[in-house]
Amino acid sequence: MVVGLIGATAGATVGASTVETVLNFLTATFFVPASFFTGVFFTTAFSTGAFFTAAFLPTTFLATAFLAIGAFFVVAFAAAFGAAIALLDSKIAGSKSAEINATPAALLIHLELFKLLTILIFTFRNFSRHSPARIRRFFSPIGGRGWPASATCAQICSWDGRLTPMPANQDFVSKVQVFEPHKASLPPLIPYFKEFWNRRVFATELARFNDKAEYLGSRIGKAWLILNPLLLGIVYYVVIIIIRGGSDNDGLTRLNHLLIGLFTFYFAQTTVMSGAQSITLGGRLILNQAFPRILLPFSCAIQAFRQFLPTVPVYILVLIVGNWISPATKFAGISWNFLWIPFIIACIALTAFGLALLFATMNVYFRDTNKILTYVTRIWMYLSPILWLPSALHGSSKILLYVNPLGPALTANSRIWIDNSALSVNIVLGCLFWAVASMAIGGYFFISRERDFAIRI
Amino acid sequence: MPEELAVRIEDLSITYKVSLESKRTLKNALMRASLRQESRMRTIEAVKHLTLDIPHGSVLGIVGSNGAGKSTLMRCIAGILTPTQGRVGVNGKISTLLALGVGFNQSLSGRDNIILGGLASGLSKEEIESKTDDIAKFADLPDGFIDLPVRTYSSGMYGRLSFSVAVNMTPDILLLDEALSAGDAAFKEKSFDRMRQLCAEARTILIVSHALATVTELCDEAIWMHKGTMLAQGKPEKIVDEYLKFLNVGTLPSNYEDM
Repeated sequence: MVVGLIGATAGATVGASTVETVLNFLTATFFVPASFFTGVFFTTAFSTGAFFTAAFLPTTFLATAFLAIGAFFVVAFAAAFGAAIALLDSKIAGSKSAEINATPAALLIHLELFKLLTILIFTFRNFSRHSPARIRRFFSPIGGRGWPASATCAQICSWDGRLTPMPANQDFVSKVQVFEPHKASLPPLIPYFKEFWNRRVFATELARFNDKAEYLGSRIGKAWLILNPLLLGIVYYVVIIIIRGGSDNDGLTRLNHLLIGLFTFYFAQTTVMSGAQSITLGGRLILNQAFPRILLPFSCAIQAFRQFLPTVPVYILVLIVGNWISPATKFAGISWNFLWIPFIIACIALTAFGLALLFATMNVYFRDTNKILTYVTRIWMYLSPILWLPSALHGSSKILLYVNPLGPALTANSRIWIDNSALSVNIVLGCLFWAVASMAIGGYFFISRERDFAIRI
Repeated sequence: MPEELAVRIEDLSITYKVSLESKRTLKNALMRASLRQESRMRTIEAVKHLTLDIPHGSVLGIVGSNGAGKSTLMRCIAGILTPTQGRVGVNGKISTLLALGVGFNQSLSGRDNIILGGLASGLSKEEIESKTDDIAKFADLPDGFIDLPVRTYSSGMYGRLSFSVAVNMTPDILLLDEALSAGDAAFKEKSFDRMRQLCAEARTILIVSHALATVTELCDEAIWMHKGTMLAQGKPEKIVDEYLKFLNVGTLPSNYEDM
């Protein structure tokens, strides 16, 4: 059912010209915010209807047929709607962006939303209809015994004093270790982080070795790490210029914005994607040895950071060369504002690491999490101020910058690198909020369930 | 915990749930939800109320048929799994060989894998680097193989290297799960010697093995586990004898029936 749907939508997505879709997508979504929110509303209505109809039918064949019809309606509607918006926009505004035909863009965003909604609606159904208790257990501090229970760590031991007292020391390598059932789903945290700190060399070495293994057989080797986002950025830039019919007389400013945004986003994306796989790929080590499992995604974060670092000088080089070629390019210059950069990078790293922990835990229970994650990160990139400027959002649509975990940080990034302007309090608070929230949620899920990994791997 | 004990297990129970679904994917979970099926789960009581003291310097053999809970018990002693009930106390540094393989990246060299494994088990980088040559030598790898990717190794080389890492970490307690089947006869003799040497240094070894000859030859104590409970404890010859009788007859001896 879901496969059929994704197949249908993927076919349509690939069919549309990439060049057109990317730029039109931007136009329809962010330069015409109205189309975005109306699109969300109608797509939600259509896909919800289609899925609930399908869910009540007994056979897979009929369900697939209904879904295909539903998908067709959504696609057709999206196309018509996009065209209407474009027409409307050109009549009202007569602006430059209105010259662009919004149809493929509207199509693309509707399709992506459709895919996401598939997942969301079924997840909701799964939780709500069959076992309302499950969702409670999943979030309960005691872990619980149901799915996806951590039976090994969750049950409270009935302590009758019959056992002789032993010095309770939970360290992994200390002389005397005592393993007891955890009274709550979290292990004692102070020894846990002490052990984590003691073995930090393992994480850095693992990152170094993995880097080495990945580019061992490749002739261009590590240059790919820079070439890949650089070329992608240039492709996006060319596409934007072609569809806009020329640049805004600001030289290569837009390219610079795109590049620093892409480089930074790739850092976060790599942390999340490889961190999410680190547990399921670390099978042998997890089965064989006791160590804080958080070291595995942590090493992925280090690896992503090591790959990110060389892209910063490349960006500065592009900036200087761009300024030389086209003097209109905005040249930020140096100021105290640049002292914010380490703060922003730290916030991005923490946010991404927290998400990596969350998805790594999910990936142990559901092995297809990683496939879903590729869709999610793609939508995430479109919704982040990378291909579009943060200033493109007005009024209530600005909320898009704050509901996106990387929104505040990427906005701050662009503001400092491109505009060299100070950060607003809202942006700083947004960065902090997402870093703390993501670490708290991801960390809790991961650490409370990591004793379960050895059984489920 | 008394000083002379290496491991003390008190009333240990380990229970966990496994999914019986063939594919544990979000997609399947959603499909089941749409067809209104419950996810099929089974509760496994891997170890039930086990109490055991293991003194320093002993070699304990654990025998039992598949699914007796031997590996789960070993993982719990290593601290990989937490007890569901009861308590496990361990006095000393543990080295494990519970799943074949030293590190986990097949495209890294043997040396890199050894270093990663050692760092994960809590050694410092200098400590483990000083040991890599000994480990490689003990494993009898052909010349230069230690610096080649692990995927180029034969399964025998892989097994020997894993074993070599485990025994060369100078552990106080060595946990081996089906580890001795890796090498050829010559290597087996060598590993037996190494284990006897560890014993002489008052280190403790726990061996899970289906090769009963190994148990009688190496161990000075053995236990027989069956479906999570310990049926018998005693001299290896006696335990192996009773276990063999059970295997041939297929039923438990009458004096164990009520356990």
